[in-house]
Amino acid sequence: MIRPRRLSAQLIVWFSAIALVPLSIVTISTYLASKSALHDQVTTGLYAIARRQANQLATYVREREQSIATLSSMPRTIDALDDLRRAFASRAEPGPALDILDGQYRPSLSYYQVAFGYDDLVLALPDGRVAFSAQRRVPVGASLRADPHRTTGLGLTFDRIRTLLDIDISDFAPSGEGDVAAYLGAPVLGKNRFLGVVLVRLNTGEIDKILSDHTGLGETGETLLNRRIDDKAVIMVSLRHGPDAPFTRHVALGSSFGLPEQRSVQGSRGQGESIDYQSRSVLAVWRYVPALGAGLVMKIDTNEAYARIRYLTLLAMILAGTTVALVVVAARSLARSISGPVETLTDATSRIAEGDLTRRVDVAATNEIGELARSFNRMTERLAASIEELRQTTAAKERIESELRVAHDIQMGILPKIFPPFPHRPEFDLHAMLEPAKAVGGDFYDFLLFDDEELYVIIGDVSGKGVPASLFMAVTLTLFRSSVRRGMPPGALLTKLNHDLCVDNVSSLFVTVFCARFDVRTGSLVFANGGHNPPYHVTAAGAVSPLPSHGGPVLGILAAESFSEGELKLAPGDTLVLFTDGITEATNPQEELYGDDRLRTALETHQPARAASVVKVIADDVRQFVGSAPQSDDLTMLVVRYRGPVEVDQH
Amino acid sequence: LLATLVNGTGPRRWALVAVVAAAISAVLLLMSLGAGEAGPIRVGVLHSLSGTMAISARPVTESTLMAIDELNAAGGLLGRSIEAVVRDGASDPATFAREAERLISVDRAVATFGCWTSSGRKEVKPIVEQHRHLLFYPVQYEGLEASPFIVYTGATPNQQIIPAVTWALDNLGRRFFLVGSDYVFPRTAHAIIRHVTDAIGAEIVGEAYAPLGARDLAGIVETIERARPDVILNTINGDSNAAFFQALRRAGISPAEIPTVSFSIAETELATMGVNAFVGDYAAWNYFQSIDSEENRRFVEALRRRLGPGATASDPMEAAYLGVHLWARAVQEAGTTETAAVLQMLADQSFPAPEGVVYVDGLTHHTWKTVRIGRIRGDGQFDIVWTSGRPVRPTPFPAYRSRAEWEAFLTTLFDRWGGRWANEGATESRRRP
Repeated sequence: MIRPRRLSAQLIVWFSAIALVPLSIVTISTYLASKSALHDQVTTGLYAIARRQANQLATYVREREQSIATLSSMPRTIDALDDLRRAFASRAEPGPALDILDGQYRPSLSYYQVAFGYDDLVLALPDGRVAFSAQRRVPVGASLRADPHRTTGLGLTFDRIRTLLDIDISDFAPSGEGDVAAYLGAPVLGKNRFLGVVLVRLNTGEIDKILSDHTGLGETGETLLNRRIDDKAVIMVSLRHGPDAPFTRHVALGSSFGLPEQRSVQGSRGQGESIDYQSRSVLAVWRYVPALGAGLVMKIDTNEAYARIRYLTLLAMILAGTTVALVVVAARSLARSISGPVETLTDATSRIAEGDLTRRVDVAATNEIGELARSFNRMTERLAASIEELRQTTAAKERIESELRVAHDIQMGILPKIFPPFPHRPEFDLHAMLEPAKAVGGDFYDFLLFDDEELYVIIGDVSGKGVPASLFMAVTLTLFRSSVRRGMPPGALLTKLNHDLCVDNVSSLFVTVFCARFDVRTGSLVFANGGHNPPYHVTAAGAVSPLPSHGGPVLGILAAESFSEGELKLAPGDTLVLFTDGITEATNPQEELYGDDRLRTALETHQPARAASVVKVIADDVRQFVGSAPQSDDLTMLVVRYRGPVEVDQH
Repeated sequence: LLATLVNGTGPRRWALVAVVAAAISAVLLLMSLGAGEAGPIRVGVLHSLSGTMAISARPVTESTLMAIDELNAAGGLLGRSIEAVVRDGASDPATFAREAERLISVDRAVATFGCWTSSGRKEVKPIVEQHRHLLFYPVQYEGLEASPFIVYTGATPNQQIIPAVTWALDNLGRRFFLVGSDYVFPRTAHAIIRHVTDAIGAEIVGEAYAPLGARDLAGIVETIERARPDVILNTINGDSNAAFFQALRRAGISPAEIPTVSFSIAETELATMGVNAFVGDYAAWNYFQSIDSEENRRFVEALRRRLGPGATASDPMEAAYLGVHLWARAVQEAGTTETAAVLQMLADQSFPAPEGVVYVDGLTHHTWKTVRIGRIRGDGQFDIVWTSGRPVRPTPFPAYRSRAEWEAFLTTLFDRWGGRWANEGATESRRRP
């Protein structure tokens, strides 16, 4: 019995596997590729912004440097420094000459300061003394190489410019005036001499402006500039979400957070996912800006940066889910379209097995399974028709068979079956047997005793089998009984029987008959044979011989036949054995016939005293010979044993 | 296929499963392909392992190899290991040129780390440019050069010579004597020094040159004795320095009397030549072994693990070391060793070097470096007496002349030396009139 569920489940599993495995590969690889592409895009975008802002910062610094270079090479600056240098050289302390020079140059230098966009402008001599101060943050005459200025941004920058003879900028630092400022300076080389240094004050306004451009940085993105002070990365500028950040927020180097900040001030360039100063997961780009001695960090919260990747993930999951659902539905529907009809067919087959031939399968499919279902229906119809036909045939056959059984019973009924039939007659002993084959046969025997003196015995065998033979046998027997008269010679009896049988015999059946008249007082026997096996005469001494045959024809063929008679005188103790060819033609499993020789031997070997014993001995011998082979013909025997006249017996 | 799968019996079904599995592995294999070429990345290391420069160049070779080993220990680059092919320039410019050609054409190196003397570098430069190769040059030099294919990790004049001169004026005296080996670096350095001394009001009382590798410098010392300068500015290269300082001391000139500021004497040279003759004199560099920083401690420790506990670090060694790391960072960012892509990533590249942060100037391919002046101690180390405190922008062409004028100056030298970058003729010594 097929389990339909298993087939369906197998189909679903395999269908899903076939559909989903390549799909999964494609989906996963596409997802990974897209994710990596998006990741690259996001970081590249961020990198580009970082580059842009770093370039803007560099440009800003370069512009400032160019402006200070311009300022340092302007004749007015050179003249001012040269004059001031000379004035300082002539006097130890600033005096009236300096005030005059100050008054002379202040308007133009102050104008430069404002025009170039600086907060302040200072001129220092090569030895570090301040010769001019536009906003007077540093007093004229103070030395930048001495305390307290030596260690300030101004002093350090002066020292570098003085030594490097190049433009330099100090580190941005809180000024104490509420802003974050730095000093930018350049050596003034005029008339082939190093005349001093021009220094200007810058604040972070411009830088803040550059960094507050958050284009492309979403909601959480921000740019920050920080620099290393001792072992800390200190934020130098206002943050998008922290205006008070400058020089208040910092990350200690070696901390587990603020990694981009730490790396940028340590001089590394890089990009990637990291943890920012707020310990948040960010996608960051960091780089070092040497002109400012600072680290630039551009970052955006990972959540925001990867929003599109998360969207992609969601999309991929929805897509995968939908596809899986569709595949499963399709697999189920396909599985059902295959297993459903199979199930129906199985069900119908079981019903048919149980005998319900009215069952039909209703399958709409046009494919092989539909074809199978239609064939199944045709087969069922044909089967039903065949079975009906068979049923009718069987019924007819049964009727005939029952009729045959009745015919057989009737046939057997008309044979005398009470033995010994003449127990009051001591002169002879008679026994007969007819063991019918399956079908109704045509063997018969009969005997009649007239006046206790004349015994007529007859044995016959109608050609063929079945009802016709049976009827013919009945006719023959009836004719025998109606025709036989005391004293009637057996030849005449057979002639009459033949004549009567031939009249209107259209059946072309015939019958072999042996008939004898036995005088129980004398032992004389008159017999006629119509084509039958000659009976055996067994003497009291045990000699066996067949009765002489006069070659009489079978009865029922030609009406005008006459039958010659033979005569024999039986001595007391003699036995006459009549039989049909059912005895001699009995067949064993080896297809051998019992035959006359075996019969004669059996008769010679056994010398029973009673006719019944003779019948039994021969019947047993035949049965033993036949063994398991089916009985093909009726076994018929009639045995008469002559005991002799009554007087002898009395004697 | 479906029918086969559904109806297939044991072995047939497993065969199909195998086919499906094979298909999956094939896809995965294809995906994993393109992960890059196999085999190590080859780089060239080209220094003088013999000849007069070997004393200086050998330790530089070692620090270069150390940086490469560090990269390999950290997993290599782009999933590949780095293989260094070391070639000997033999202190000879022609050999340098030949070996460079070999490294590029035969060894298929993707970049070369090497050269010390400018004469050697100037022979290698056209070869590197012709092959669009990449050279990392680790030594301070005279400037006046910029090549898109060379990254200069040593100092330019404004990062070493100029501050040393102004510092010497402020701290040591105003009368300078210039002494140098007779090749392109000292000649150019002296030309620049003249501009500086002119500007700051110092005086050059004499100038003398000895051939590279010269042992007898008694004549020059005699000239110095006669000139009685306040300071000697020394651009002698190689082991001639030992002879020069011994001659100075023999002549009774002590650092206290006439201090010397050298531009090519570092810790390694002191260790090799014996420090005694040098104690109390000065050198200008970007890096000293005595720098107190985490990065430098790690660097020195690594060197000592490699070369023994007595190993010394020097500026060119550090410049060579940081050059390898700058290259590695650029390769890592570029995702390839291809010159054009690496060059793009080298611009604005930075590295926390032992000397402090170094940064590749995108315009000039020189590095922003911290300037330091040190005084030689008895233990062969330096006391840092001045530092810029932060990286200084490289200026390969000092603003005293235009680039064209500087290039004409070099051409004049080249032509005067008969198509060479060094005077291989007789010693020239002249006094300023």
